[in-house]
Amino acid sequence: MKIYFKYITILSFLFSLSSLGFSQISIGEKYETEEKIKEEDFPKEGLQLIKQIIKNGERLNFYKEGDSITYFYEVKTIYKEEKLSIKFTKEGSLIDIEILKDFDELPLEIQHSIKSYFQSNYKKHHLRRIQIQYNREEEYENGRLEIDDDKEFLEEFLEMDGDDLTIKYELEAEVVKKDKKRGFFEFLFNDLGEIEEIKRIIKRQDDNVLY
Amino acid sequence: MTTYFIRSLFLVFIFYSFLGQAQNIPSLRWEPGFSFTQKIDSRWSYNLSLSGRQRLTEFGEGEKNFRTDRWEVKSFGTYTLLGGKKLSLGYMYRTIDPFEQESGWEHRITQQFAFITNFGGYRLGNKFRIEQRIRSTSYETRLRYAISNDFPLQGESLDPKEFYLIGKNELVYSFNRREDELENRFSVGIGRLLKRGQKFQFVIQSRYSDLKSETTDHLIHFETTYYFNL
Repeated sequence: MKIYFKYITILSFLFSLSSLGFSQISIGEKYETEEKIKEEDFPKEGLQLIKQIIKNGERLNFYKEGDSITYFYEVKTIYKEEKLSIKFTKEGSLIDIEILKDFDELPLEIQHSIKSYFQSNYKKHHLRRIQIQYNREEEYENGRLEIDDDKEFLEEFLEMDGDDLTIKYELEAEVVKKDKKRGFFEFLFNDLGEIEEIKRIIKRQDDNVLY
Repeated sequence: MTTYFIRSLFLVFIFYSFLGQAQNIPSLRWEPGFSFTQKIDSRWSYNLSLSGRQRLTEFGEGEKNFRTDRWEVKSFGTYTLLGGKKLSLGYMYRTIDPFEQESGWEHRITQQFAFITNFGGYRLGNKFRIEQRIRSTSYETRLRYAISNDFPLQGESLDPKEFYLIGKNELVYSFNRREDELENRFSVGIGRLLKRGQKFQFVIQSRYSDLKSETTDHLIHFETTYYFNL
């Protein structure tokens, strides 16, 4: 049984590597329902964890997003003049933290990687919403996978300890493909500026404004 | 807190618009309508709408006078540019007093440029229109600019079964060789997304016409529209 598991793991790993090599990114859809909720309806563990941010944050808003089966919670606030968005699982465990940025605030090498990705894959592009996404660090130490717990993750984020965080870049963009088709997508790039994930954004209809 | 402030301000504007210039009793109209929009591809879309205006009171008198004032069919072809800017070309046919012995008609050609901007997390719709109105009685050109704001009442995205508010103000300038006229239309309404691609909207519109002359006419217009989107 164990040997089969090993083979499957190795095969999956090789397959994922090969797919990265050909940059075959499958496109999902970003079409979650989202509702504004009260602070008391937010998971207590999450609130307890970020009490410092809640205490000093401005324009606090609490949301529940997803569908009836898979959903998560999110806090949006302005903390130390940064627009933060902190995502939690339904159990109140931290998923990631995002900060809204302008494109020219990203590291120069990341700007170059992202620009060259869009220039080589699309005929035209128009960047709209850019966020730096901070994820907990996962690393192997002495052959064992070490994953930061929520408290360590948050501490490293508040200290802006880049070495102990996994950083990604999330962008919303309108693009014109090589076949001239247009679309709105959410792109996720890793810390090297390589594309990891693409989701199609379903936009709110504007027929009542237009006609 | 800011959100509540903006929404309170929005409500103050509504009441303020209805308080002004109440020297004559506004006449009342009700316009039910149906609007169908189909996306052809990532650039082109098509809209077809049908509406009929019911007159509830006599213009400027406040006396009851129920009748069908007009009905119309409109169609638009829309091309989307990069950045969400939209160019539309439209045609409308309207029949006036359809059940009277002497009825009138209008053919209207519309050129429209519209774009949506974001201001403090709210989407603002901007709409510029040029219209050529070929009517049974006269010809008229119209220039229109409308700014509108609509926002969900629950959260930042509009999900099925959720309500939204909409506010709009439009300036309409009409002219031909003989005369010109300015009109202001302020609307406020509530809508509900019934399910994906289908919504129902109720709007109250306050229209002040003949703003350039000394006797301004005031009209209150109720609109109920069902939007269907494919």
